[in-house]
Amino acid sequence: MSGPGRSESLLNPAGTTIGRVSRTYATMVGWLVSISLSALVVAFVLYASGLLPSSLPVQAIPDLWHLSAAEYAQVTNRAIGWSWIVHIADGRYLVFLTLVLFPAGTMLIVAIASPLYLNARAPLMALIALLEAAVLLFAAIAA
Amino acid sequence: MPAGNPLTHGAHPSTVLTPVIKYCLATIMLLLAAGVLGADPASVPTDSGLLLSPLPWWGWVFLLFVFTLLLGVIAVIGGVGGGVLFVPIVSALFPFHFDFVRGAGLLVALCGALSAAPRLLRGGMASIRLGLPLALVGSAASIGGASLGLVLPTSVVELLLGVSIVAIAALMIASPGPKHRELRHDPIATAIGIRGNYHDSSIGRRIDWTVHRTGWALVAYIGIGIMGGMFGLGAGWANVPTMTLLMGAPVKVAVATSGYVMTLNSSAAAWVYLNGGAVLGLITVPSIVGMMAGTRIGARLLPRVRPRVIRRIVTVLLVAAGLRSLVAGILGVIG
Repeated sequence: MSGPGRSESLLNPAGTTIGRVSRTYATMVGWLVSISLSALVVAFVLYASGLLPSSLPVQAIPDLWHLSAAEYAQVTNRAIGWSWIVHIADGRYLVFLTLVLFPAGTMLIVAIASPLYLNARAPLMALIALLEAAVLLFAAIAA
Repeated sequence: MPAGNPLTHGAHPSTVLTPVIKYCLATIMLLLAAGVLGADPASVPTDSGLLLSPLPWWGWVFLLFVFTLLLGVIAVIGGVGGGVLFVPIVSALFPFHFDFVRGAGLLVALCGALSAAPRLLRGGMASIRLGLPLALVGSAASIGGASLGLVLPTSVVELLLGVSIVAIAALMIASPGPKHRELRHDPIATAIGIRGNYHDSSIGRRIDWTVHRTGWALVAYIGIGIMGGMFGLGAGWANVPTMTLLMGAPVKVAVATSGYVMTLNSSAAAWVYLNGGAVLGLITVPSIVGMMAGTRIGARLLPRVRPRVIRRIVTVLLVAAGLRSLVAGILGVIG
């Protein structure tokens, strides 16, 4: 397999080639940032303003953030791993969900890139993208 | 005769902006020096072992937002990744546990890289074919680094961070500028199809490029991934030197692709910190928003300041932050 194939690349007005996969990838990342950042700010305002109930009031956190992650989890009864998912009506976990959107969206976009590369007759890149998605999935569920 | 400020009238914008940024950097260095000398950032111990905060929560959020905004400006002008400045400096100046600073640092690096990626990919500068193989090795290694970082004692991680930051600063001082060299045949680069072209507006023509020594770069990314994950730095500090000096990629392609690699390496390590409960919204959200706003302001200021001067000061800042981590780590290990 060699370089960007005819079906993958496009000639732009500057006379340079930009892959179809790159352009699709860029569009998906743009959506991810817009959606995740908006959700992050809205969730944080809901949590910090007290509009959304929370098992840990925001006022209490500055007295606890000197603790290590393990100590903090023990003192505040914080859900570790993916067990927080059942508590997303709780303000602090809703903010956490919006933070998770960034790496989760990145993983999804890399996974989508794999068939796009296959379609562009670049099987080695398709395999690398698939392996990268698998590494990120492993980090998300097992690390 | 037009009226105007006598201090600024007729002055080139860079002669006005550079001292302002120097003043901000000097203030950060003074605060860091206070940290090295042992002044606690700000907390009052109680009999129960908890530390009472002298500021309300919103005061910390505001301070963190303003501070990361300033760091974002400096990171762009100094040409370094936000993560490499965020972790050592915020851990020195704010009363947060090192676990939460590293978790926030990775998400700050991830969000900053994601927000820049669409423009760089559409412009043809960032290359997925160059970045993805490196990111595959780097992200797998960063999972190991992040897991190790959460298991090792904080003082040991801080000591290692200090050594690494000082070494990175030394690399910035000592590394030669990229030179045009003949590239050797590289079967891995040929097989993956790592090549491309871009329009260089400074010389007004199309540049065709490829790389070599891809195998060595993949080996280097094992170490880069481990360090980025363990210290929450991301990989911005190492991407450009590896792609230019080792692989022979053009600087503009390397800078653009660096951001793409960071989106994947930081994602992998961020999962470890998220799953380990080492991410606090109250620290991470204002940091992300501040850093993203700061990098946008920095990008606008970039043409009007002298990056070489700022880069030198950033190097000194990194040395100061690294020494602080080193001293804190040594004191933690022996005490």
